[in-house]
Amino acid sequence: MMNENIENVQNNHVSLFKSLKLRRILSNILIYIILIVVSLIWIAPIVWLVLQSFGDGISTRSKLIPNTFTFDNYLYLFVPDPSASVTEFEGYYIKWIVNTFIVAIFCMFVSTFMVLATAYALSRFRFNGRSLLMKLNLVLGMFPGFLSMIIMYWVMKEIFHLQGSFWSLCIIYTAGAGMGFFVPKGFFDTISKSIDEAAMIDGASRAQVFWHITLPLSKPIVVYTLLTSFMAPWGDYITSSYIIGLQNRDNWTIAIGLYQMLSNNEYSTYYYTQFAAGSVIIAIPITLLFMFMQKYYVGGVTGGAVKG
Amino acid sequence: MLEKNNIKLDSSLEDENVFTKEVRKLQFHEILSESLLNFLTSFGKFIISIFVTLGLTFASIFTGIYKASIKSYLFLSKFLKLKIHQFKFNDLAGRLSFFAFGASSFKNKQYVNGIFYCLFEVGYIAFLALFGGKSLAGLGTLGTKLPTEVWDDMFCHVEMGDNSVLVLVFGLLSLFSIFVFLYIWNRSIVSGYSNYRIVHFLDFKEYIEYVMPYSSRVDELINKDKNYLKSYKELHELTLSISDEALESLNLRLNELKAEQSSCLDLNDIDLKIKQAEEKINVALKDNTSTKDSGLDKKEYIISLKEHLKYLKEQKNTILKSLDANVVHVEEQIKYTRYAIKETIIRSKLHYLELAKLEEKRTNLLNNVEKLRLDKDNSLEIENLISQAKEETNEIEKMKKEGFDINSPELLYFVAIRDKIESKILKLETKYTNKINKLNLKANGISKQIKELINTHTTLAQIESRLNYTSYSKFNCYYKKMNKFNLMDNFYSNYFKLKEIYENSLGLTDNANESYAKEKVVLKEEYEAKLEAINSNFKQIVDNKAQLILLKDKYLKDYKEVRKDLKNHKDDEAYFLELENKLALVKRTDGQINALPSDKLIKSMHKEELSNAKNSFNRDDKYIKTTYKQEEYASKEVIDYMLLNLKYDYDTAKSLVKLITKYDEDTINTLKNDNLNLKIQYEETYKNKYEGTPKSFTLQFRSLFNENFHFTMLAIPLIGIVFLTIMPLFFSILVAFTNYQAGHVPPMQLFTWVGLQNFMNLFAPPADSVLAKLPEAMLSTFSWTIIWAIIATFSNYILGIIFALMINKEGIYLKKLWRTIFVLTIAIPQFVSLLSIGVLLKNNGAFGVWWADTFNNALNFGETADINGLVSKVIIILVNIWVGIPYTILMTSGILMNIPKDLYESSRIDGAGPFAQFTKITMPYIIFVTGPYLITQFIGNINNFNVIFFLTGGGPSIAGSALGVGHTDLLITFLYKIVTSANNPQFGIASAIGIIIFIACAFISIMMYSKSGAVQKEDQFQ
Repeated sequence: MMNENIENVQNNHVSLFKSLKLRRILSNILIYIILIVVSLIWIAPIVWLVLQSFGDGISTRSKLIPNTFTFDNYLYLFVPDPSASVTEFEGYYIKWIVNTFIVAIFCMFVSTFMVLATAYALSRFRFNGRSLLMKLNLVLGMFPGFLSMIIMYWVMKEIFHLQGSFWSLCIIYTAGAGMGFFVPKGFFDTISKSIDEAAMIDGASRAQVFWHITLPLSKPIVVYTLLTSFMAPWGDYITSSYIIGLQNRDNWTIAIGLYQMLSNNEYSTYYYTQFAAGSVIIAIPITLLFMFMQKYYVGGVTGGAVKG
Repeated sequence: MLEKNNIKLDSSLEDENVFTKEVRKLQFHEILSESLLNFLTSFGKFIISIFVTLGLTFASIFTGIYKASIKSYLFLSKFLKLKIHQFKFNDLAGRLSFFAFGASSFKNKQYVNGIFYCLFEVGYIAFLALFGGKSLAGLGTLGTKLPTEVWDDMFCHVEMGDNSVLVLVFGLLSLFSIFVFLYIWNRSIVSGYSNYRIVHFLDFKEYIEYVMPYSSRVDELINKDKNYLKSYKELHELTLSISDEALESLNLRLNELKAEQSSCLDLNDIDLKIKQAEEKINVALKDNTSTKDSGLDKKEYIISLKEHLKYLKEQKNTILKSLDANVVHVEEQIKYTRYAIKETIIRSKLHYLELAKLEEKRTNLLNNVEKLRLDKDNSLEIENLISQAKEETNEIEKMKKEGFDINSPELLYFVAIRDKIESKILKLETKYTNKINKLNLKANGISKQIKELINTHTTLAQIESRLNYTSYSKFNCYYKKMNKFNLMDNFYSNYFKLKEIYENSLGLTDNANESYAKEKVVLKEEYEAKLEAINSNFKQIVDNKAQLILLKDKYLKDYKEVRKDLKNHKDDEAYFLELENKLALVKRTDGQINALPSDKLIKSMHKEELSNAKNSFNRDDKYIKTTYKQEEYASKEVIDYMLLNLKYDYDTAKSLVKLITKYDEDTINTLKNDNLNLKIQYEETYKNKYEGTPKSFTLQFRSLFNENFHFTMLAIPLIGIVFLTIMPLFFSILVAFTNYQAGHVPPMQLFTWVGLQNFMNLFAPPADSVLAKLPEAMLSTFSWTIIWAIIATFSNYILGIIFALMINKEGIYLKKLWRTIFVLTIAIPQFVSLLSIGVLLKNNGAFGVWWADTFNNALNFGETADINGLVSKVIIILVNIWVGIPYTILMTSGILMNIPKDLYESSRIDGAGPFAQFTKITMPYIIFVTGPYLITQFIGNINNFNVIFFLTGGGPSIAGSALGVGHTDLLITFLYKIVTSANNPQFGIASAIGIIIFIACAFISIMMYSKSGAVQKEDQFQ
């Protein structure tokens, strides 16, 4: 009897375990647990940074939650601190933001135009040297971009006379923008060519087809390129630091400034919390912008990435 | 006994246990060794495959270089031949433009182009003379002139020497400008040549000669080439361009017609007349009101005038209607051609798709047939069976011969076997032959279908014929019109002379009639004489023939008489000679008779000549009239004059003669002036469009927004890329061969070429220099770069796919929330998040402190090295996962949505579980689509500056390493460090490292690209 009972129980258990519904529920619960844990890990550093920005002095960095909360860090980014021990970067923060904003706006429009133009030309026209251009783009992409900065520094200094100015950054960012045509080209390829042909038979020129048909149809990719080219200058350190140089604080972009706040031990004792505050201030609008435009970003990535 | 038995049993059991254990051990060993072997073989295969791919890539590189050199040689030779041709077949201006740009453009009134070319040449020469040539010469020996101190009386100032960097930059620029110069040179020559060709257009004939072979080539392609889709694409583009032209020409015709409508002479006349009539009516009405006495007459007069007006208006309407009808007709034609072109494009597309499908089917079937045939032929079974059967039959036959008993069991047995084998063979053969026949039938049917399709499809030639028609018509339109103007002008200027002739010949009609009557008589006489001559001629021929026949008979008689005595003169040679002579005479006359035409032929020839003569006489007789009226004769005279002296054709002359009495002097003058004005107007408006002249500047400019739109689109980006991306790259590649480093930094110090010194320094530097430990640093950074790139790429890729699958699983809610949480790391600027994480993980950061507290051991992230900085490396990879996964999640979730749902449904029907679906559908799809993405990610990770620089800055540092290299430094951060170091910058070595990075990237991506499917099928996605 005992044996039979045990067997029954075991059988029940097996059948229960084997039933698909339960298995699905169990696996879903497992996935939920994983997702919750992982998303906590994902958010943690960000939350920590936000908390740090309310901290009081450099000692907060060794604590998960600061002992005392102040709003001074945000305030002294814009207003001079009367009790400051270091006044190295005083009053520069707004300048940096304005500089970066100018560069970003410039890049947004000019390089979007460049990228879309090249992508459209390569997607819709078959001309001599088209495949050569595509291959050349692949080869150029394999060189480390920083390599050409050595000469760019000289070119900006001697030919454009823009040494240490953020306008040189505008030129550098937009000059090579045409090489990023891959994703928009993939998107343009997915738009049917028969629409163009129909329009052309009805008497539209190629330019009219581009303005009145292709661009309205490819709204996601336009927003995607606008968004990415707007965001690129905010996070770039390597190019901007080499081209602008560390002497011209007036012309720094936000990335150089914030990095310099931390790089030196002397400065970082005072500026650490201000760094956190400054980071939060520039991160919030960009993050919000990105979140609002996320739909287009995903559309652009997947639309173009179906072709890689 | 029992015990014993038990023991025995036990022992046997034990034995069995031992045995099974041993067997299991053996099996285990076998399994172990097998698995080891498997592992070793697979590992060996892997290594061999790496070598094979290495070899293949090198081989492909070499073959690529070989091919490129051959191609460039061919291109150069072709180019030179073309230039020589263009020089030979050109006018003076065209030849001049080989040396002075834009000469031919000026000659052809294309001033904008001419000015551009000219200015470019002048500017280029100025550039070379001023500093381009100098810097080109300076490229060979960089930096020769050092800055020197110059003393002016009291003050010292530094005179700048060559700046090596600037010399290099401008040298490169002038090298590039040489290519640009060559390009513009070519353009100016080509434009001059094409202008020459257009101006001396050998009419449209040449154009057709140029186009037709191409179209026939395409047709050949369609007929012969099996790659239908490819040829379809070519055809498609051609049809599009051709249809554009056809439409354009039709539009031109429409415009022309409209112009004709507006400038119609008759209409103006009628309008004038209508105005006059209306004025008259008005005047008459006024008169009527003033004088009522003579009312009746005036009323009638007014009524008649009104009727006249009505008539005139009706005439105008009819003319307008006819013109409108013309316009409408052309408009309809345009509509029709549009429709036809659309239809042909669509139809041809469908055709080719169908063709491609059918062709594929047919080839498959034929392959199957061949396979079956091979099976049938090669099957040893059948052969064996056949040989067996033969042997058997032989034996049976033998036995029969030897007089074996027929009913003996052995024989019966053999016969049975033979029958069996034969039936087997039959079965097999029927099976195969049936299959083969069926397949062959199918293949034949499909090839028939293909032939039908090819025969019925609208080819390019058809569209082209339409185009040729329209182009001819537009060509003819202009020349017809111009010809008409010229003829009219000629007519008006010779009008009085013609009128004189006309009036003179009015009085001469009677004389003329008489002379014509005489001519007629003469003609008849001539005709009769001719008839007689013909008759006599043929009579002679017949007589000759009869005489010859008589002669022949005579000779025959002679011969026969002589031959009678043959028996008497057997040995007489003279007799035989005579006989032969006679025979020869007979034969000659016979030949002469045969050479003459037969009697029947002679008769028919006679008849024919008689009828010819009669016909010609009748024609001439009809033409010569003897009953001319006065006007008739005069107009005939005028027409004759016009045909002979003014070179009119008969129809126009006949139509113009009717006008000869209508005009007086003043009207003729006005008409002549009008005609001339109209001609000039027409010429001005339509010459450029219809006659062969070069495209005007506005047209060329407009084409930049239509068929040449890509030039406009690519111009600015390409200028940016060439001058600010490619040029700097060339520069930095060249820098790798110089000693641009600390101690050689311009402008105060200079650097020069040093050959491969920098590359040598990377591997074997001089022992006592700063670079002594460079090879070790290079080795560590290079190996870490490769390891980092591999781990970072694949960890991101795999984990990203897993998380994407988790989020997108059915039954998981809050998908948007999870995704936005992951996307946060993309949204926040990377340097912010990475810098803060760097602080967090450092020893004095919150996490570092927590770690030290709980494990009593410092984490030492990026600070002090343990085993080659292993902890820092692991943490960097983990943080990189934090940064990088979201991209993969976004992409894969997009791809997951794109996978067609029917695949899953159909697989479910076939019995596939979720796991099988995942491995057989989802993963292959994702891997196929994201192949290129993986490669770009890989290259991106090799050059991943941000993660390393912001997290550790390359630390933990290696004690006593060259140039401050740390454990976690990648090649790119190493490069950054070398370049930016304040006291010891090594630009040359940095460039060498950059080249090494490039080689690594290129090698890896070539290897991966050659294996990924999505890249190679770039065009098929469209």
